[in-house]
Amino acid sequence: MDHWDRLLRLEAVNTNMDGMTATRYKRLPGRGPRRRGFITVSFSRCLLYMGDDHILGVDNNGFSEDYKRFYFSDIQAIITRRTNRGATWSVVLALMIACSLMGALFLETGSVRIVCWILSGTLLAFLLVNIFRGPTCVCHIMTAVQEDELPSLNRLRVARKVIETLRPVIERVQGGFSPEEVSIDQNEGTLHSTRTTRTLRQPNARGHEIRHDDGTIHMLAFALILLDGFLTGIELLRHSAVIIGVSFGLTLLYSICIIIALVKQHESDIPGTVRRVTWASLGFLCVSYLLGYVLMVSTLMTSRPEKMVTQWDMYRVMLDLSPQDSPLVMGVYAFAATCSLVLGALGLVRVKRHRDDSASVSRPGQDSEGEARG
Amino acid sequence: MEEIACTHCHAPILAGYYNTPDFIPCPSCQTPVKIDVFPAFYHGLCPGKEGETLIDDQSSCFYHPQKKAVIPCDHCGRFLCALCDVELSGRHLCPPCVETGKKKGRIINLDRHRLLYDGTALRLALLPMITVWLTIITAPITLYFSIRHWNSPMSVIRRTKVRFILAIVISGLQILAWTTGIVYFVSRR
Repeated sequence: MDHWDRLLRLEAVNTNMDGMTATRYKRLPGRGPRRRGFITVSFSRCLLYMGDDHILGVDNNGFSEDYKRFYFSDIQAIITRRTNRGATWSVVLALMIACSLMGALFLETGSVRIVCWILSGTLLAFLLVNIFRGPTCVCHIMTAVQEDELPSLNRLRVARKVIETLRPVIERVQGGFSPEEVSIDQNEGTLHSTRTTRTLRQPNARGHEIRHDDGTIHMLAFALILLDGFLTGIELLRHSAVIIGVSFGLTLLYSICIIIALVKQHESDIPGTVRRVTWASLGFLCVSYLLGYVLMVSTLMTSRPEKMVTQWDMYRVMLDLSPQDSPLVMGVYAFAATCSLVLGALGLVRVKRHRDDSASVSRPGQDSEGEARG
Repeated sequence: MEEIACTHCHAPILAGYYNTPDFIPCPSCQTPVKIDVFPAFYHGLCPGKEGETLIDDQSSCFYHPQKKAVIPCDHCGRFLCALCDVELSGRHLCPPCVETGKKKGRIINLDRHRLLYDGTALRLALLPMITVWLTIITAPITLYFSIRHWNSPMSVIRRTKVRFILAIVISGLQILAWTTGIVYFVSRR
């Protein structure tokens, strides 16, 4: 609606202290919701504006606005951290497109196929927009007394642009770096000393301690995924109701293990790769449940209803489902087997490496303890 | 000088990693981070002003008679010492004027929250159109709401009255449509 504002030139007058001119704000690029977790349903839209002497952060929920001001003279640092949110969304969207395309190609009902094509197209548009917007990041602004997130700077390209816009303005207000300050930077870089005292401002007063986790539950989860992958692979070659039954049980078990692993890896020293593989396993799990549901619905639709009297009859039909029955079932089984094998193997290798690293770090300490005792 | 912590693992990051041209992995969690540090990081907080003690026939602060006045309040004109002088957007104000200005919402730079009456009015005019029949109640409310809050403080960011105008036009049309419909049905009977 901004173009209407510009077109009609109907500017509102903000009541202000007598004689005090209202600050003129210049809109900075980027917008985004304020997130408080992995998945957030937020209706507040965050924007950033540049005033004469400060940056204004606006959280707009449609009915009201909340403001935060960061004065140029107070800004100490802007911390940008790269995230995998964009890449994760791309993978999730690609998997969803694959699922809907499979439905569009293999399902027999005409109306469902049309819905699947529309869904594929919509998801593809989302995927393209996500790719076009570039890698994701999280930006924090730091002053002497606070550290706050800037949700509007959630894409790397936008964050870089905004920081480049702000840098000269902030440096003009604060003055340049003195030679001593520059030398501090250089010296600290070569020292690499560990500091024991930490006088850190905490964002939203959250205290964090990184605890050690040897990744046992991760190992169990990945081992089960790998085993399930093998069983699904065997099922592809030779159909057996027993294998399907065991596979169902394994899926249930590793679902629980993945959830426990995700809880345990929070604020632990589990490496980033293991974390990512665990999240990817959860994504795969969701997709496989979805595919299982699609398979079940399509099988029940195609099989004769008079055969199915009780719930057990439905389960029996599902257990009798062979990959050789249709290309859709074959495709789903091949996808599940490949993903399980890749995720399981990768996860196991990474967890093993983490355990080895942890053991090598703790060994010198134990040795010295042993020596002291001796 | 304080240390900057990684925003992911909260482990301290050494000064050698600041103002790098590209992302560097956090020494603790290996997450790629880029820290842009500004001179204020090294300067720290400025010490607060105390105000000089009054000597002989100098003008005194209105609020602290034993302190020397350095500046008058730009709003009420009272003499202020360095301790009482509050600088806001280039203007010097006394604490009571700041307090009054904040309470009455007259100092924009102290506002932390604003209700968007114009956006609310527009939503009130548009959203009930989904159900159609609900507009018989919301249209007069929208009209009243728009006129009632026409002069209320709006967003701190420059906004126009376009949303109010649209809300009035839409609700006016809704009222007109309902009136026409009712008159039509009554006249048919």
